[in-house]
Amino acid sequence: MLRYLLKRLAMTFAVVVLLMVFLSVLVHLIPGDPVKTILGPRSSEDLARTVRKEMGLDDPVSVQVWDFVTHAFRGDLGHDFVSQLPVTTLIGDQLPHTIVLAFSSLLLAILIGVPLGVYAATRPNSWADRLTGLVSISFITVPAYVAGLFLLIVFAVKLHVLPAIGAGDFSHPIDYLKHLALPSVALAVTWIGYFARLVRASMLEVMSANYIRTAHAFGLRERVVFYRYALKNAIIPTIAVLGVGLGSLMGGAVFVEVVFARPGLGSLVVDSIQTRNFPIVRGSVLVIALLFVLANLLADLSYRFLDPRIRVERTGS
Amino acid sequence: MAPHGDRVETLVDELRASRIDRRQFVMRAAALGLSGSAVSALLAACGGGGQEAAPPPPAATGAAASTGAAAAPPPEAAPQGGTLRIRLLNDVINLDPPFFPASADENSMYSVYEGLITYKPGTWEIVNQLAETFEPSADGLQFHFTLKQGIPFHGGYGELTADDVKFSFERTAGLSKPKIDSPYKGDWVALQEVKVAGKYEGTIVLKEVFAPIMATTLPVFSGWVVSKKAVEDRGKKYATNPIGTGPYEFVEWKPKQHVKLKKFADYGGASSDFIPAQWDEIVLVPIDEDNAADIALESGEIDFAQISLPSIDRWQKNGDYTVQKRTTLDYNWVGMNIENPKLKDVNVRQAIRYAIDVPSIIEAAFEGRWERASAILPPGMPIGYWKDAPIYERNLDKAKGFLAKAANPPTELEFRHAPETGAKETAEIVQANLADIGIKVTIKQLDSSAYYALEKKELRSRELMYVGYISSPDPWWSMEWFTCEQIDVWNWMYWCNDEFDRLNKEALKTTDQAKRNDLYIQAQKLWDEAVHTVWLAWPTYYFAGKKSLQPGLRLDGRILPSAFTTA
Repeated sequence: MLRYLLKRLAMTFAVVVLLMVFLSVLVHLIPGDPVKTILGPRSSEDLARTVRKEMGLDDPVSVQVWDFVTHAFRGDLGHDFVSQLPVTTLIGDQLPHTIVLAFSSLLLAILIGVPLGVYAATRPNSWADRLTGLVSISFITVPAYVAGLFLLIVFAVKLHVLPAIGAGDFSHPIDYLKHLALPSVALAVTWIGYFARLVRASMLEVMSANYIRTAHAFGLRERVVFYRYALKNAIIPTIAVLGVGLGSLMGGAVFVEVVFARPGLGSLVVDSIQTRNFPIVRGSVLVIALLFVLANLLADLSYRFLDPRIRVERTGS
Repeated sequence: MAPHGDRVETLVDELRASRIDRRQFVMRAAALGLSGSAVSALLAACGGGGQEAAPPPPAATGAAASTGAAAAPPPEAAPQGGTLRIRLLNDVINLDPPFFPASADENSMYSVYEGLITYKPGTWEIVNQLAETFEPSADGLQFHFTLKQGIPFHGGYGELTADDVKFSFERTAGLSKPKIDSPYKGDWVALQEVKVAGKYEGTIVLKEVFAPIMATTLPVFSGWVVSKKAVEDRGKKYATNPIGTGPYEFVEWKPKQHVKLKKFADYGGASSDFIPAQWDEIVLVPIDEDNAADIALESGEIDFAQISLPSIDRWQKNGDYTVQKRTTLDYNWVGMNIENPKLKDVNVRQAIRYAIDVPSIIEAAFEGRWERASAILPPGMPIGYWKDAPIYERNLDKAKGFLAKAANPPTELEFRHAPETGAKETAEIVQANLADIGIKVTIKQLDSSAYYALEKKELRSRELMYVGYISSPDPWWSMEWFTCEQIDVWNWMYWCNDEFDRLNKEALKTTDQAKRNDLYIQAQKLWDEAVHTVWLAWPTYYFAGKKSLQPGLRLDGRILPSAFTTA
């Protein structure tokens, strides 16, 4: 296990370094002069030169790459010339909102999607199974921003029970949760459907396994067979996709943040791309990628932890 | 009609002709003894209520001088208190005037900063703000001012003095130490120095006459006065911790959430004569997405917002809201690069001008909501509007006739545009229109940054293009991009005309507004003769707000938060 952990950590490190290198040369790959875009039409050539120097764009590309990578490892992601603030400060302001949104959506998707899948699997081919199937597939096909608009119209405009925009303040938890409710549901909808289908399929596969038949033969109660023996194994593929799911939720958060005018890393990246504010783009994409890589690492490790067969196979090989 | 029937009729006519606004109408109607219900009925008959409210006309046109105290009537008494929530189209980034990156930053700070002079809200009339007196010299090279006394800065930064004025103006101009490089130093390009003659007195000295100083430098953000001590104390942090003398002080900026302002308890009252400042708190909320803004407005989380063109009808039908319209000073057009071999022949350009169906473009690209442009300067520009500018209607016979006269008429052209409002639809209509005269148009959309990257090779290779520029309340800021010096920079039609340049230069150094007006009209005539532009529209902003709200808007659609009142 330790060897595997070290190997995975080394791979993760390599991915992060490669990503940093890519992000440092990104500004040279995309069309347009970021300095002129940031400064606008009324900027002088002198000012453009000053900003280019401050951003390090005058240096050779290799120096730019080295500077970014070494500074990033020290926690310095550069400086935003426009707001005069460190990029880490700007990201630090936004990141908690995105993390809370992504995790709450994931939690919601698990809490609703998994029981829905189990419920459908316990009644295969019944009208309840077909209905949950219909609901799940509908959920999968609904983009987060469409779900968001629908929820806004119902709960904010018509019923006036939940706020439409913003995120509230962490210092007022109830208010913050109220602001979180609609965006997290909107973001979770697709994954509720996906988890429901995944768990149903896994459950049905497991239910036809010999050890389940044996458990039935021993006269164990249906509930015990289902939840103690079948679900434990059927849930493993779901855990495997959690890492990918978290990454996808971070990406999907961009649309939800825009629709709900909610602060977050996604909307920060979108704004920064539009204005070619590449220090922020670079820093934000790096942070999102780190979270994605970390989530995948944890999913991989937990997968091995939960499924003894994998450990045995690896040890055997 | 009632006892003053003829006078009421005149009043109604004035409202219909937009010579007076709704508030003035109500006041004058009350003076004639009309009851509230009668006034409401008249307003409804004139298209009030949920209909578009036309802006009041400019009061004075780009006054070159305004001396002594402003002769502005005091604002209506309005109920005090409450919170006003307004949409910003994007988040603020830098609240230090010399570095404003976008209009959101400027709009947010309108209530925080003040200048020596300013525009009276809703007009182009210049009134004194921090200045007790403001006297331009006859040669236009010196502007002597005395300050109103006892004006405190926010945050305990002491009283406003002439040193702060000197620091603020020379800082933007790049004359202060440490020197800063502001994108707006062009506003102070003619500044030699600000001479301080006493604690409350000084003179702005110019190296040469710079006519826009009274229109686009002093009355707007380049003329706002910052606290020298606060800028020095706060260093880089000043960008997000501004200090001014305005009726509202900055409380906090929560990125992507809001900018919060609160009423300044010790306000010195420099703008009290014309800015009501009735709210306890003003919250400016950045909402990028139009649908989100609509929902926030409808759910009551904001009180006022700029709205998208497709949603105008819906808001007009909603009796709880009023829609306001402001035609900006900006201008959009289809440009032709006259240096391109395919477009060098003026007959080809004439053919294109007559082939393009501008009303259809306005209908399809701008929902029929933007005002058709006939030249670069719109009627709302304080000076320079060319009233008799020719309007070229689509005429295929003429277009084909001109094309037949061309030596080598092109059979193919490329149309480039950025992903802007209406650009794609414009390109498609131009494509269809030119197909009717035998020219096949290929459309190429570029990313905004690439389109505006100003790379010489890319600019020179353009043939047809969709362009939209923004402007300020002086023609200089519209015209200067099309001189010979701007070839390979912003003059994308590659039109270089010495006479046009001369007229522009002369207008820049002329203080007589009537003469400037004539010079700019002459310049526009030359432009028209060169046939490299098909004027499309002067962009028009639409706003929706709660019916109870009387919005504070500049004539060109800039939002002035502290000028909002309850109707």
